[in-house]
Amino acid sequence: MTTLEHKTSTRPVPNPKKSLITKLNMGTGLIVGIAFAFGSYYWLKSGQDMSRPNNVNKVLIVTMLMWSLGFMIGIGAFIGPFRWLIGKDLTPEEELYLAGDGQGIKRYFKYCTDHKVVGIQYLVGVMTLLGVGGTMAMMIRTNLAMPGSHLVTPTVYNSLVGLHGITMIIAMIIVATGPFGNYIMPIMIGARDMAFPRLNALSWWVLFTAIPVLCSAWFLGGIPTGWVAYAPLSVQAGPGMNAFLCTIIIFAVSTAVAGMNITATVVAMRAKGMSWNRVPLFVVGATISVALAIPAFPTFMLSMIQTGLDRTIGTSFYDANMGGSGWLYAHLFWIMGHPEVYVILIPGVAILMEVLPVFVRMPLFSHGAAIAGFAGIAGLSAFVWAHHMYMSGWLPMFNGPFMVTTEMISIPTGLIFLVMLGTLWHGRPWMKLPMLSVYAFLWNMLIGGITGIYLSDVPADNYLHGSMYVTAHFHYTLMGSALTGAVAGLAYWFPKMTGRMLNERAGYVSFWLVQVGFQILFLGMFVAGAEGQPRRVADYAHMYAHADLISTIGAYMVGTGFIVLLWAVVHSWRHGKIAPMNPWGSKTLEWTVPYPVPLTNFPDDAMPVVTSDFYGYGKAVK
Amino acid sequence: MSGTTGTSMTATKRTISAIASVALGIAVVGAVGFTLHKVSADPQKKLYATTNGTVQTSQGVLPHQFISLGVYADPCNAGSHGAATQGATNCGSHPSWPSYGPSTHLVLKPHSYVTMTLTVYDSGENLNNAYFGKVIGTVDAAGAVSNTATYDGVAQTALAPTDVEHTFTLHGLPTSTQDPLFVNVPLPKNTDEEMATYNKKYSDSYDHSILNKGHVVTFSFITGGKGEYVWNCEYPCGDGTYQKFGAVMGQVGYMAGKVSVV
Amino acid sequence: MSSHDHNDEESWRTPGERFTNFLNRKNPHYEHDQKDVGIAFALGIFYTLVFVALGAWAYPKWMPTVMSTDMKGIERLMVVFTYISAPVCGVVLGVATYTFMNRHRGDTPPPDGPMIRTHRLTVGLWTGISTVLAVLAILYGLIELNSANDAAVADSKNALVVNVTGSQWVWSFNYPAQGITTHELMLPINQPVQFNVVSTDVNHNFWPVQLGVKTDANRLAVTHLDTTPTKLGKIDVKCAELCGLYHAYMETNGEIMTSADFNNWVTAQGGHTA
Repeated sequence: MTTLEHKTSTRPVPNPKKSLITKLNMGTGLIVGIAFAFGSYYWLKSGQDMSRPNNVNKVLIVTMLMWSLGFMIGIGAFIGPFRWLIGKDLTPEEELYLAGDGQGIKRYFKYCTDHKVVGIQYLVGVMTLLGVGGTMAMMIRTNLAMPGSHLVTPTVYNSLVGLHGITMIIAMIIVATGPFGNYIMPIMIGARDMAFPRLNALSWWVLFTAIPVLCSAWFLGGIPTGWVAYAPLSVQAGPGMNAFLCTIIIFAVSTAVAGMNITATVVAMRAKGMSWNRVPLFVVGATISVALAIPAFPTFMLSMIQTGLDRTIGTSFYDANMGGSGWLYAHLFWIMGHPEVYVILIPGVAILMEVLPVFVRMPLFSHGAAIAGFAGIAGLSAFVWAHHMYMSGWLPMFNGPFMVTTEMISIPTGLIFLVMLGTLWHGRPWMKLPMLSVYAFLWNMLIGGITGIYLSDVPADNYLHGSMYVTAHFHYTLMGSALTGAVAGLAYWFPKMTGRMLNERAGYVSFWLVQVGFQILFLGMFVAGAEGQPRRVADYAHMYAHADLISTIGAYMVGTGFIVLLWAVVHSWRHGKIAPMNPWGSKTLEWTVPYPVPLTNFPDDAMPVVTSDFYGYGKAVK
Repeated sequence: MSGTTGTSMTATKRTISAIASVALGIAVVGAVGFTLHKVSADPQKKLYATTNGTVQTSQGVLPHQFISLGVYADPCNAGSHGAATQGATNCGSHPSWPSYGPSTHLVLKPHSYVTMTLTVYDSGENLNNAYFGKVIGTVDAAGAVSNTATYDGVAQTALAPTDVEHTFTLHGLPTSTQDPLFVNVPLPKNTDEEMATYNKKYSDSYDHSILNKGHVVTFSFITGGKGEYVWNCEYPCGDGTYQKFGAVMGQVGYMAGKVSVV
Repeated sequence: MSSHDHNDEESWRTPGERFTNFLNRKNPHYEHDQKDVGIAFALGIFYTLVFVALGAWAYPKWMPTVMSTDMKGIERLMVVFTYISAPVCGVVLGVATYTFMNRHRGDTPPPDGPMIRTHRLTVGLWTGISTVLAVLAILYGLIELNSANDAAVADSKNALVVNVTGSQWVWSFNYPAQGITTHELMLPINQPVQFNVVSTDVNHNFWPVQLGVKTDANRLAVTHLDTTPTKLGKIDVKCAELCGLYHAYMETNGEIMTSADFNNWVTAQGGHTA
């Protein structure tokens, strides 16, 4: 269908014989990355006594980081800066080439600076990570279907738990700001591209290099820790732990770059007339989320570097025998870990607030409360981290103050509910998939939030910490709320990102399978936790058998629901109904551009000028 | 407003495509699960205790079961990872790890008087936790708790924590429907001279079938009802890792295993 | 070039103009359908009752036998917090359900609703009430925490001391006054006990489930727990922090017994009763 093909550009294309950038792509990246990896592995191995674990760790860590560096060199990430350094900056034709002009589908496999290409790359990457993580979740639940741990041995089970956790956390951090923050957000603020397009491509491809590193953990013996990777167990762990460390170090680079890029774009490149009051909520949410991530993730990277040093050159950051402390790790980790869950939650909530006025045809209720909610959550989240450490014995007299700050987060969270309910009230919701997701969110976040209050209470946490109750709580917030928001975003923006409508019936089937299955899965888990089943256990006492079996059945429903969603996405992408320019009747700027979205989004001489905010739906009242 | 359909599939074809894809997805996940199961399942054959006679105890007349294990400095002699022949090098994926053998998955009968004989061929050092230097949970000939084990014919209740080579520590999930079962027997180390002889033979001929004399430890305990338990060694020999409890200590089939009472 | 509809938008005025408008504001007037509010209210009451019933029934049913004052407090807290949160659930779910009942089906967007940008009374009330509820929860928690601490201090003088050691993957308990070390946790009833918890290797978490207390076992950094068992019966001791291969199997049993039975047990282990 010619209406959907990317128009061939009439601009000059760089001479392929002359320019290196035309020859580089994912394939050359793979070649150079693998060459670096093998080269460093064999070169380092030959000089080391590989029977000693510290040396094995050294070799593996350097190999993995070299893979990442080599890939980035091979795909041409450094050509731009290098050419600038030597004084022969890229020509405009080369910049256009880098933006993917006139290359068709090949540009998705190259170092392409067009934010729309990066958005699609992130979408595919996120779906892959969610698929891998979800498969691991099915394994975990199958093992726990009956007492006796029949599917896998405890070593494999512990690896499943830890790797499922980190895969999903990475996927959830980028699930909304990756695909939509890159593809949609610049159009939404009336910009031509992100502030730093080359760094945009960098953030995606660096993340890409982390994926094989993460998967390599399976071939190196797995990890014995959860995704939190507490020391000193992480120092004791086998070679697979190095894959985990390197994944985080690489991922932290990607996230820092992406976060900085998003923030700079939103601060500096908004359309004329788009004052802060008029910025769409998704953009506000995404910006607050990455602004929270930028100070937080470096502490995670630091804790991983310190673990790496303990595992290689014999430092004792976390070895109490030599003056270190496991509590140091716990602090560094949770100073990241708590803001990080709000990094995950806020974009999902922002998406739901973005779609809500469109599907209710009413303005967003109390824009000020929405902003206050996001700001309050983000601000307070920096002061609550030690609620993960109530039971660690670190400093019991600080449990009280942290309980106060943690419980106070319920107030801005309540404002989120106020905004959503206020928008819904007096409205007639249009029951498309994004709107259904809002209702699912209201239920899931209610349960997640309230159980969070129980957990924040120190005396209750004396019982609930380390039990399946905690696991059920955070799945309700991270998966039931944030992932639901991201799926809503996918259904909402699918027409703008692919030009087609997402198959509705499949969307509904998937939605109900996932949400109903989700309740069965995690409500059963609350029961198991209240009964006293610890978390991260491969096997459990017979008294928990009922609750676990029910959970497993729910898990299979959720898995099936997501496979249906995957089918819907793939099928609709290829054969779906072609979408009009603005199928939802939304007022935000991304719906004013056609599909395929032109390279520079808006016509060169007609950049948008904004004169009001985007939530002015509804009939005026007297 | 809805534009041309652009779809090349009828509704029936779409439904079939959806169902087939979902089935394919489930099959893929199932295949992953099956592969994981095969790869991670305990590769060793079960070691069954043999029954021979009965014992009169305070709990009545119980069948007398016998089972024997060894603890070896290298996995080839253990026999559970590959054959111990001259020049054998591929005894499992961890050729430098000590191992119990011929199997780490023991099968016992419930409500039995079990006599276990462990022959130890490895060296040792310090325990992390001196508690495991004591013999716990064993019974005497009449089935009364004695907390004694016989070491080369001499009955002892504990070993000095510095003379321990490995331990056999049996424990499980007591909060289920199964009876609790806890046995801990420290195993004596071979002295440096004994190990030097062994290593000399070993390095001279690479003949994995030559072992030093070894110490024999015998003890008995009484099993309760049916249940699944685990055992692991509490002597840290995970070379170089934190508290020496990594590597080999965390791997089923070497220094940890299962006991099924069925 | 695309401008958007703007009906009496304030945000494009200057700050001075906006301030003047704020001072001179009137609340917008729109139809209040009493039937709407009534149905939503009824639904809200229904949901509130469901959650109250849930709190009263569920947690006592699922949670283990209460065998110490700490555990009693925890169970009570779970129930009370469920009661406090029941009206919150009622409001949220009541309003949400009612709007769901009014949903618009079909392929074309629904007609525009009223342009309600905000309603200051609602925002103020909501924020105020949620603050009050949060403060209530905080106070309850702080009072509970404080009383547990006070009890611990008061009991410390005549407490039975148990040194708990977690090793990968077995618990051992040393009773210094009695001179014994065991793998099962036996305690006399109504006797305050102080646990000093440590690990020989990685982080574990000592959790005697029915006593409702837990603490991490760290290497070389001893942590403390205080509680008093108040009911005879079996207890389960689990590990609540992933510690490697056999974390799931790092459990042992214990029992709360009468003082006489406890002394007999101590003697049978080879110890001496004080």
